Amino acid sequence: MTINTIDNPIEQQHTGKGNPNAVLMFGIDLNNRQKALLESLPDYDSRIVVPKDSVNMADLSALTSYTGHEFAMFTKGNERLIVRGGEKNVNIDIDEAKKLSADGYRCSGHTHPGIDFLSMQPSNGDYAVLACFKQTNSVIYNSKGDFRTFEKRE
Amino acid sequence: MCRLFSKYESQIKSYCIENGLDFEKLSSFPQCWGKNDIWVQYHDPSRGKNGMKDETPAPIVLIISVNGGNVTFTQTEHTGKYLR
Repeated sequence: MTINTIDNPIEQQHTGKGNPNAVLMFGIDLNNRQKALLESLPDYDSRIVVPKDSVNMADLSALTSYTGHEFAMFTKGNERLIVRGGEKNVNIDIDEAKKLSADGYRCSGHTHPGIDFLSMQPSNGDYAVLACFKQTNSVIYNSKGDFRTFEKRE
Repeated sequence: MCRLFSKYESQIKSYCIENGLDFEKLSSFPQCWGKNDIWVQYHDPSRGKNGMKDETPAPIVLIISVNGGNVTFTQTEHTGKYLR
């Protein structure tokens, strides 16, 4: 047996595909699951409901790295609503946040484009949206896959 | 409340007293945290009416960092306005 005949599982598993930081810093491609998700979210305010286990916040961080746009995730039972935003916002106002909460969704998290810590700084609007939901906290991911948790006060 | 804030509450309170900051106000403000630090922010409800359509950051009034069990504090330009 020669070394060339041995499949190298390490290389196969660590291509960096779909890793937010690798997408951002090295131009590595999205993984196939993320590509499919992005294709179904082509424009600002595009929305899709997907099975809960098909997407996580790290995926949205990778999409933010790739597009420079914000994405938001809301979860109800075994489904997730994904909303594509723009460079500086997501089209979720207070009225819609209240509707989503009334429909049984929780605000799982959203992304902010950027790579420094301050890119994960919650806005007054983020806190106001969180206040519409029963939960006490949510998360903000940046383009590198870093995240911070933020918590409302009643 | 952030686990770090609860764990180091007595040190945070002492810092506030020593520096003339209002601990009760600080405790009532929303928090945002990572692994080793907490940002305490001032949330103005009147400025959040547009939800995620307006991502103007809520001002950070105090940064509390924990490194090896040592707690350090960083005041910001907003500290005096909201905590005194």
